[in-house]
Parts: sequence; C-alpha cells; structure tokens
Amino acid sequence: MKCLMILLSAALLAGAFQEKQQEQAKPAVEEKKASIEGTIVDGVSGSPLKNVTVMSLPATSGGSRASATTDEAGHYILKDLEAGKYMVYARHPRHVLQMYGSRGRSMAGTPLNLAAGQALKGIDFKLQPNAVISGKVLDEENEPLKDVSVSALAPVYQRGRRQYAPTGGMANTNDLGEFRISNVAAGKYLVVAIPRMQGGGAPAEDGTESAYLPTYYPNSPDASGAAPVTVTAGTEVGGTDIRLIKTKAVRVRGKVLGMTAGQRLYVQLRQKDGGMLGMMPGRGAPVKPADGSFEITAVTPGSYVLHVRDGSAPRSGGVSVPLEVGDRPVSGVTMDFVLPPDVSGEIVFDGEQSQKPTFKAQRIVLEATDVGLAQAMATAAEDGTFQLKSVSPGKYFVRMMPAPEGTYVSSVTLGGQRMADDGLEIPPGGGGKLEIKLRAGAAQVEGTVQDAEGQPVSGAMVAMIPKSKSYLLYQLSGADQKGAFTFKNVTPEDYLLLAVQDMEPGAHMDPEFVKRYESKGEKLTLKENDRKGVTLKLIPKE
Amino acid sequence: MNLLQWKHVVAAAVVLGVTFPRLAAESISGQVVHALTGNPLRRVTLTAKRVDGKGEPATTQVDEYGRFVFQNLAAGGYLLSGERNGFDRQIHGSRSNPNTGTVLAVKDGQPVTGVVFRLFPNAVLSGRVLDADGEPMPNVGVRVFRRQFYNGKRDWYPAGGVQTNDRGEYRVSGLRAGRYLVCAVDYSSGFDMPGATNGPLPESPDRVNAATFYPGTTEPERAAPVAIARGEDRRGIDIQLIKGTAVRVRGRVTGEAASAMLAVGLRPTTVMQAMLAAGRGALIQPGERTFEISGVRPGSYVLTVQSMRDAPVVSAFLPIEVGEQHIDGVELPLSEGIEIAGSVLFEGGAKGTLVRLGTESSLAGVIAGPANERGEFKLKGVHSIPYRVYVADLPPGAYLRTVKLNGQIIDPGNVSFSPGAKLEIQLGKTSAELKGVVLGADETPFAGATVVLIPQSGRAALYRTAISDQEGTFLIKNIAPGRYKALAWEDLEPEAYRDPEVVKPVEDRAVHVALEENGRSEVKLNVIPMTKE
Repeated sequence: MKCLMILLSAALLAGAFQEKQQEQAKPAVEEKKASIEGTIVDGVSGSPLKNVTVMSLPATSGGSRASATTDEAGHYILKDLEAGKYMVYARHPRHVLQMYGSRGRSMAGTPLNLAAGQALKGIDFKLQPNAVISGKVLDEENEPLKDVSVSALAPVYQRGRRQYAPTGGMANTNDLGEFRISNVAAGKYLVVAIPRMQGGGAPAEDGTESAYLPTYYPNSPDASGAAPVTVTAGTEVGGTDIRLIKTKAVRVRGKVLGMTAGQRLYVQLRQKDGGMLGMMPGRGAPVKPADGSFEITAVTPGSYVLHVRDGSAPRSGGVSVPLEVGDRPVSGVTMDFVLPPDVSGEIVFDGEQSQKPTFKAQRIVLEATDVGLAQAMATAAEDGTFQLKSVSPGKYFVRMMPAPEGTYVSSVTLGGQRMADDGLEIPPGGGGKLEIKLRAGAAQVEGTVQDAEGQPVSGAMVAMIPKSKSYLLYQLSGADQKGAFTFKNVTPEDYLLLAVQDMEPGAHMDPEFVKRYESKGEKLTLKENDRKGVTLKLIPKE
Repeated sequence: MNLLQWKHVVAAAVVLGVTFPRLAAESISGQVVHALTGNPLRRVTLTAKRVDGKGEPATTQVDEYGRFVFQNLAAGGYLLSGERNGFDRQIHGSRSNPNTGTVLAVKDGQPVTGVVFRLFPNAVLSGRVLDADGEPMPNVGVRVFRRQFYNGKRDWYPAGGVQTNDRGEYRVSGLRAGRYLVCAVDYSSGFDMPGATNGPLPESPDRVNAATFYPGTTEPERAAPVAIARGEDRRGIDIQLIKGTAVRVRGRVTGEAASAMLAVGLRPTTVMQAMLAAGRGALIQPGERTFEISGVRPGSYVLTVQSMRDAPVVSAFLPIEVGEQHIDGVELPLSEGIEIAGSVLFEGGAKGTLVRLGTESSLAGVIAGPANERGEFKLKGVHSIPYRVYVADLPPGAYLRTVKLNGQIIDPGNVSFSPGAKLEIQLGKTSAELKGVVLGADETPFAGATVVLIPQSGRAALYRTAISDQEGTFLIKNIAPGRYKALAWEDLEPEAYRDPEVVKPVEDRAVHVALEENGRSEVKLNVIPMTKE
C-alpha cells in the first residue's frame, strides 16, 4: 500500500511539474466545465462496486484534482473539470488500484483529453480483486519468526535490463511467523524473506555468529533456486512457507577518522552489484561520536561497499570504500570522512540572446549510473547558476527538469570534460565547474497511433529510441483516448518511434526488444526547429 | 516449577545419558521455564551482568532441558537476562521496572544453584478493523499507546503499531504489561480529496474515515484502555471505523519571496495526534504563494512552511485551531530567521559541545551548533517561537549548570529570542559521589532495589538512579553538586520517580543530602515495599 501511495504522490508531483511548465497557456476567459463519468465493476464477478474512490489528476495546466465515489450501481461522475489532459484512477480497499487504461502490472494509463464543456462518458473500470500470497517464515527448527520482511518480486526493466524488484508488494511476518502479501496483481513472482534485526547476542569464541540469509521460497539463497509463485486475480496462494537459511556471519569493526563536532555519522553496508535488492535492512550501525568507532553485527560473507554519511546533514553526500568479508571477523577498517566538495555550475544559453529563455526553478539532477545509488539535486537561480551540495564521487547522468519550453541540452561538461553517453565521472576533488549548455530549436513530434484498419487506438505507449542509444534521450509518451501523442523538447538526432501493444514499462531501453520490432517502427531524422507529424501503426505483441 | 517436576527432568536426563557438568564454586546454575506453562524452554540465550556494572557480561545457552550454568564468575551480584524467539529479552525476577530483578549473590566458594528463571512469552494484542459497513479494512494502521511516564509526565505514549492485513486483521506483539489505548487509522482516507481550485470553498466539510479508538470513539478521552498482563494473548480488540468531518485549509505565504519549492505542513500539537494524523500538507511551486490542504480533521495544529532541501532555508510557523468549517485566508509570513551567538563556559574547555534548540514535538526540527575551541557557537535560522535550550556531546564530567540570556539566568525549557540575543551556557563539574545501603523490613541488606536521587531543582537531566547490589549497597558517581532527596523502591515503573504523585506519599522515607563540589556522602535507605496487587 505504501508503495502505491508513493507512486500516486509521484504522479501528483509530476502533474504539478507539467502544470507549471505550461502556465503561459492558461486561458483568460471562463470556459464551460467538463465531466468524466463511468461505471466500475468487479473484474471477476462483473458486479457493480460501490464506495470506489475515483480521482482525476491533471496532466496539463489549469486542470484540478477532482474526486468522486461510486454509488450502489457502481456509477461515478467527476464534475466541474477544466479543459485539459487528465489521468484518472480508481481505488478500493479490496481491489488493486488502477489507472484508467493501464494494462498488466504497469501503472501507466491512458490520458484523457477533455474539451471545454465536454461530457466524457463510458470511462469504465474493471477492478481486479486483490490476490494474496500467504505463508509462514520459519527457522531451522520450524519455529515461526516475526518481523521478517517478505516481498513478491517480479522482473522489471531498469535502464534496459531486467532486474527483480519488489513490484508485487511486501508484508512483514507477525508473531506467528505469518505473512499475507495482498494487493498483488495477477502474475508470476518470486517470494523472498529478508530478516531484519540480527546479531543481538554475543558472538562465539572464534568471533563468529550465526545469521539468516535472505531466503527465496521455498529454501534457496538466490533467485536461481527459487520456485516461482503464479497468482491469478482475486485468489489466494497459500502455504508459501519459507524456511530461512542459517549461515555463519561475522562482525565488521572499524573507525571513522576526521569526524567533527556535531556530526552524526552512520555506516551502512551495501551489497556490491546488488542492484535494487542490494540494500539489506539492518546492515548498518551508528558511529560512536566519542572515538569514531563502529561495529556492524551479523555480516554474511560477500563483496560489499561500506558507505559513511552524516545523518545531521541530509543534504550532503558520503564516502564509500569497497570491503570483502570472509568467514573471519573483520576489524581495523579505517576510513577518512571528508565531506565531498560542492559542485557548482551554470546553465549557459548557446544561441541568439533574444531567444534566451527565462530560468525559473530548473532542477539539476545527478542520477548515479549505478541503479539504486543516491542522487544529488539542485535548483538553478534565475541567472542559471546552481550549486550541488557535497556530491559523492562517482559516475552520473546529468539532466535538467524541466527543460525550458522549446530548448534542449546540447552538451554537459565538467571542467571542460564532456559527458559521454554512459555518464559523467565526478572525481573526489569535484572536478571543476559543471556547465549545461542549452540551445533553442528543440524538435517536436506529434502523432496518432492507429490499428491495422486505420482507426485510432486509445492508450498505447509510444517510445522514442535515439540512434546513439544515449540514456538521457529516450522518451516515452502515453497516447490519449483518441490515440494522440506529443513529444516536446526533443534533442535533434535520428530516432526510431515504436508503439508496441502492451509494452512493458522500460522495455524500449532493452536492445533485444528494440531489435525485435525495429523493422515495424517509424524512423525519423530530427533537426533543430523541426516539427514533425507522424502516424504510427500499433505493432502487435510477438 | 516445583521440586517434583525438577526431579522428572533430572530423571529424564539421567535416562538419556546426559551428564551434568561439574559445578565450579563461583557459578550460577538453574533452569529456564515457560512462565505460563512451567515447561522447560530450549534455545534460550542467557546473559549474566554484574549489578555494579563491573566486568564483561557472560553469556551462555540453555541445553535441551532448559538448564544452564555460568562458570567461573567473579564474586558479586548478578542480574540474569534471557531471550529466545518469541520471548523478548527480560530480566530474571523483574516486575514493574524491566531494568532490575532478582540479584543473585555469587560469593567465594559458594555456587548459586537451582535458579528457576520464568520466561514470559511476548504479549500479543489482536483484533480486526472494519469499515462503516462492517467490511474488513485492509492496510489500515493500528497504533497502540501505553500509559507511562516520559519527561516527568504520565500520559499516553506511542508503544507500537502495525498494519491490518487483507482480512482487516492485526496483531501487535512484544508489548510490556500495562494499559493501552488502541487506535485504527486509515492513512489513505482523505488522500484523494479534490485539489486546490481558485473557486469558492464548498459550504459543507468533507467526510473521511476518522482515527477511531477501541471500542468505537474518535476521542481518546472516551476510549476504553485495554489492560495487558505479561505474556497475555489478548484477542478480539475489534474496531469499526467512524466517518468524521475533514476540512480544507487555504492561505498564502507572505514576506521574503522563495526561489524554490516550499513544503507546507500541518502538524498536530500533541504526540498522540501527530501519530494519528496522516501527514497533511501541500507544495507551493516556485514563485507562487497560495496553498490549500485538504482532509484536515478538527484539532490544534501548527502550520509550518519550509523550503525544499536544495534551497536556502526560509520558514514560517503559525499555531492554528481547526474546527468543523473550511478555513480560508491564512497568512504565513516567511523569514530566514535570525542568528544567535553565544558561548559555552567550562574550565578545561568546551570544544565540541553541541548546543541545541528544540521545539515542542519537534515541530520546527532542531537547530544545532557546536562550540569551537574558545567555546563560541552560532545558531542559525532561529524563529520567534519558544525553544528549549539543551546540550549534547558534553566534555567528560560536565553538566549544564545555568543558561543566561543577555546576562540573565533563564529557564532553558522555554526561551524566546530577539535579534542580537546572546546566550551564555555555564557547565559545571559532576564531581560529587553518594554511597549507601538499602535495607529491608528487618534491617537486612536489600538487593535489586531502584535507588533514585531527586534533585531539589527538579531539573530533568540531574536525576540519577542506581540498583542496589547483593549487599544492598550502591555507589553513584559524577553527581552534579546540589541538594537531593534519596529514595529506594523495591519495585517501580521506569521514570515514575519523576511524578510528584508517586513521590509524595513516600516523602517521609526520603533521606535529604546536600552535595558540594567533590563532596562525598553516605546514606542508609529503607526500601519502599512493593504495593500488593
């Protein structure tokens, strides 16, 4: 549930951003109000559902969030809406939350385009009743274990690669060792139990102690030995009992040097190359302010990155060192805590000064190229300058959100060094000034998605794949109920446009996926100031 | 466990060919049993720790029959603690105070044998949460509040929480014995309220699922406390959610313009309400000034504005009473706050001492500044709201003696600052010591008592406690000089000694001591016996 809330908050925020971006377009005259209505039924029984909350999220300016509740007949109406683009979702406690037009596990739905005064009818939902994965987590003697976090994992695309992520939801075991992961969408999952608090007692004489490994159903230390669980809508998959694997663990002791008064340092162990599951709960410890010492208990053998950060300065980055842990206790790890330097920079406009856009709270985001690692963020002042606080050394993608209307980023340099397609290395010293060069004349693409008969298709995802395969140039857009889509602020390049039926989110960054559909897509060469119209045929799923 | 059962265990052990380890003289041995069934418990980890805090704690595991032996212990008084899966850590013989229990006296050449450690399973409170139609409510927060002392005040404090599962069921485990209020909160209710519009506010308030206390009220004063005994499995604490009104709060920020996004929050003023409110707030886009927060339940709040993390700090704080009607036209003056300078004085230097300004329920977060080698510090972003001044990371042996604002001694618990204000923090040395003995009814030494030194000034940081050892003696070091009352209780809930209502009836048992700098004093205390339940 928390996951869903976060997703929704993100959707709301995204809406707010877009709203901001297109402020200028606000109509001065009072327009007639539009409405959206429909009926909501249970996806399995087909019977109408009452007390479902329906909400509209504006995707363009001027719109407002409106909400309604279904009546006994499952009918709802969202009234007093301004003209514009909206996403609509339906939420009911005993059903899977759904965006209108979303398919499968994807949260992305179909945007609805409303004209002034339009009464849009037939926006119906079939809500899938919650499915449940239930079971028990047991120790080596079949005793129940409480407070173990259990997640249902499914592969999702991360930068074009499929990785397991807890998309099916999670739950904690109760005192009887029982867990119930509800709100699960139909699909195939791996179920993993991740113990939290460990290493409470004293270690054995040889310094070792025992700990439980994250264990996959039914009893495997890794995904390759896991038995997948298949869930259908509204059913319960019971008896998913997981027996935790006990293993030898050790303590990692060390000292952080260079701590200053008032700092509240915290060390954390993250599994090297662990991706989204690399951060195991509880693998950390506070650093004693008196002498800088720390002790992390119950660490299982493996390759780690030890990370130190200052909890009293949440804006700052930290320091990392690699750490190999074997079957012997590790002591004497020392690390120097020097707060990484700030990186200052400027957005520079390259072109006719008369075309120079005004900078209004453009956010500069550094996204670590390693999935799951931290980000840094800053807001640019009106003169285009910005300061990223205490940036940890590492490789980053640098992006600007949002790009001013009609512009695109032509280059990013750090101390004269240009950001490559695979990111920008920020050295421990900071590396100089970060310059983001902006040009006017971004391209724009508008189009429609049609089926084989030439009829518009509602709600398809349209992907723009850059020929350079540069991560920051990929774009996605959802076609509305009439099949219309728009891409703005496009960097001039050669692109492939694809609209594949029921495309999994993020699949467009997977080279295999692109290769499979390449011949059926539309190729576009975009130059500065190009405004192109395109009609795409929806490609059937293979 | 009676002697007969013990014999059975020994007999079983002998039949199975288990040999008893030979006992060294300085040892503690016994058996761990389930406190409710009397059956021996396997897989228990035990720790023996000296009451006087000396030496390293010893640990051991029980055997297949729950038996244990601590060998080669140094002479002294020991407290035994045990834990196992399903049984949170607890001290042998502990009652109201979980930090003390039966003190086992290990003397030269005398083993302590036959200890029966009754381990209580974790208490569990369980039930279901239903909606107004009687349907189960999944993913609803269930919060429990325990009646206890904190900062000298007896009140309901958060003691745990869980979420209901898809059947609306919940189980809160690991609760200490005591009285609890149970409250169900649908944090998602009110989440999808309509957003801000420029139009007029509707005439009537909105409806949301209100935070509902067992057995069915939205007011904590009318809730029925649930009494939980040690190890109790308490079922059927079902709660049906009540629908209540929620209003919208609309307003604008004034004053210094913000270049970044602002976060507006509405924070309840009590700890309990803060736990039960579903973090209502709104964002103000850069350059904008207006905000609207929906889904707000009636109550007392502080409206806060803070700039997002990557921008200069500007903020505002405004207390606000929310009733049954929508609120419009709230004005929040933004400011960067002022800077306060000061110094920390201590012989031997105060470098590194952290001076902090806290606010009620941490509404405005904490402002902190470390003292430099000259003891000087600066505090930035101070607003015109009352703060509490306190210190952390003190030099060894130091305590906060007085706080002066512009040369006047003030109450550090409630300080308001104006521009140019100067703080002076005087630290003192905790140099005094108090030695003593606790005696029981028959004037014999009493072990395991909770000894408390209550400062006459009532300053929370100066209270000191100790546990009497096997000889009934105790030693408290590093006491701040001053006048104190010394008392010893056989059984006392943690922090209860801060409550005047608890101290008053036993005032005649108190021994008054005046400790000077480097002073040494000795007292004899008569233990205040446990009240029979």
